[in-house]
Amino acid sequence: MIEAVSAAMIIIPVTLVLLDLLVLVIANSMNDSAAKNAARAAANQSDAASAFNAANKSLESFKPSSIIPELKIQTFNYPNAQDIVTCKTRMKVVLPVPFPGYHQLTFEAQAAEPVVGTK
Amino acid sequence: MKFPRKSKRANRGSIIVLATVLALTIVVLGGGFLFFELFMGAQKETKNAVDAGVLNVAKQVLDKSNAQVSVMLPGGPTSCFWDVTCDEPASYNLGDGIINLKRVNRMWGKAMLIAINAAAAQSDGNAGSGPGNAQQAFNQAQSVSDQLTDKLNNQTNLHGFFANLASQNSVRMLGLGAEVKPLPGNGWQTSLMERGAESNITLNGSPPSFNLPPGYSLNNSFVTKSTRNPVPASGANLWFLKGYIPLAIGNQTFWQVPFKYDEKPHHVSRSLFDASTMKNNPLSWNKAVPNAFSGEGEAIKKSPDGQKATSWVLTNPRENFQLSMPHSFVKIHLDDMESHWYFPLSPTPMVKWSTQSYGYTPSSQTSLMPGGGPLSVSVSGTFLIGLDVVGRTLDGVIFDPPFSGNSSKVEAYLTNRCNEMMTVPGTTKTTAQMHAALSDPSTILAMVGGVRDFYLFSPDGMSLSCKPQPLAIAQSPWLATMIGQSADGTETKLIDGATFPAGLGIPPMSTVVPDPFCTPVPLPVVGFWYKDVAWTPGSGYNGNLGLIRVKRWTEVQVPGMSVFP
Repeated sequence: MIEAVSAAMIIIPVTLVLLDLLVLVIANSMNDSAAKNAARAAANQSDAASAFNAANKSLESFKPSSIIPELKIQTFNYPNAQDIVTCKTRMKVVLPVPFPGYHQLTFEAQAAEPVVGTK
Repeated sequence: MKFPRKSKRANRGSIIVLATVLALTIVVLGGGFLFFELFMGAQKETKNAVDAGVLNVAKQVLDKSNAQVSVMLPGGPTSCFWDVTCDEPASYNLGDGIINLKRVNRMWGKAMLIAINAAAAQSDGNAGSGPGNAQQAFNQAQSVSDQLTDKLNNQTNLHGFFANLASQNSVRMLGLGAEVKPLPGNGWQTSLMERGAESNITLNGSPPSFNLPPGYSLNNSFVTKSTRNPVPASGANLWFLKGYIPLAIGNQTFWQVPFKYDEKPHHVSRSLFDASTMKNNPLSWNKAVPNAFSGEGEAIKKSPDGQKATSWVLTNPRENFQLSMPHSFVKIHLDDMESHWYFPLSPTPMVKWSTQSYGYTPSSQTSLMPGGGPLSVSVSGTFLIGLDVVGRTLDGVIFDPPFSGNSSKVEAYLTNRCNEMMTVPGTTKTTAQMHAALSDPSTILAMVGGVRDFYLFSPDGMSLSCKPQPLAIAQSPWLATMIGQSADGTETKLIDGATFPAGLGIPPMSTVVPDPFCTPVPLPVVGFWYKDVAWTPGSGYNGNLGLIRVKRWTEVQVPGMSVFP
């Protein structure tokens, strides 16, 4: 019994740490995709206002959950030169297995796309 | 029954071993999955960065400021293609001499229109040096186009565009400091996609004439409506030249690059891209200007091992231009007008005795011929000259009486040339609009003031203007360098000696001074207006699309005689 508990004390933390790491990697990948999609949607527009709207709209498919409660555009730049649009998204990730001091993490991802919505 | 203690210890030991193996397995599997996720994430980031980089290539090849993918026209502003070296269709733009992917179709289009004008003039028998000029325009267009192709097919010219954008996209899953760089090699290719689809050159009007020179028909297989599905409403009524289809005019073959109407540059699949490369699907255009590009990039940190990705894009300038000659004009020259005075001289019925000039205000002229009638010392008559032109606009001077059946041909040539000046897609000029331009009231004052040369041109690619030289240059400064150019065809009289009765003299009867012992017999002084209108076609090579020359004169017949009482 003591040995089983000892073994569990090793296996369970390792598994939980791995679970957290997995969530972090997947969340980071999702954030990258969100930034890319937002920038791509904005790049198809011909002015800054509609570009910002398009970027926000691309994030509408995201549904908040207990693990990822928030995904939003942190910074958005559609320059007057209309050459490159950059979009930075911010994602809050709540660890499924909280560690002291690491209950919630914030990821940021930035994507740049050439503006093709202008003539 | 008792079990030995050793056996219990063995069982406990086996649980520890099992737990250790299980823990290691979980760590290995978890770590492996984590590594796999990182790998896949890095691959995705690399692909995203390469997509963005190659899409930037598709955008930058359309930018005139990128010298590595542009060609400067030889010959400077005197080049016949200088006027198509701007990114907006309105013809008030002066041009910068740069031909790039966005403008190459305009250049080919203008060369083609010059050839069409020359071919039409040739079939009318008045081409003059037009065909030679058309050949020169073709040669220049081909040379510039070939240079552009060479630049676009040189991948080192594109790497910078790729790197500028790809490097701005993070590939942090490969580690800090990793970035995407172009990977030179076979991943960089060009392709000739959308063959047979529309180019960004629209045609004026509708088939079959497309407002081209009278009698000229463009081959049906050269034109298409937008092939997009669905077609954007703004392009539904437009006709376009086809891209990557040989457009043969005479013995010259012109080309266009397909750019589907208002389609944005976008990624395409590798299979479609590869199916249209010159290597896999050759085109008879030896140095075809490409419209699709592929690029390969590599995400590396420090070690040479990194992620690679390739992307394929189809570009499109999304700017349409009408097949036209933006900086061009038609010259209208008015010959000095004369009154020709005819008197009877026995036994011939009437002989031309004197000639006087007249202007665009009415004037009473008198002519006297000594011995101008049988048994007469002299015969003279007075006629109010100039009523055929007084108060008329330039349009009236060209088209008002005397009428002739060939007026319609003059109208057709002028309307065609007006349409060749229209650069903005969808802009068409009717015969009535051509007349309206020539009916500018200011032309009345100008003619009274002695102006004999007028210029019909478009200041903006949408409207028409007809002005004397100084006013024309003030309105459109680009005219200054070309206004002295002559039409390169030869003259044909379209209206030859059309006549119209001009009424009676003032007084109506001639004045006869009889010979001694004779009685004068005055007769009615009658006048006739005459008009010639000649057309010299211009191919447009030097900006001159043609010359209309108008010659008007008035013949006054002053009969008179005397008889023995």
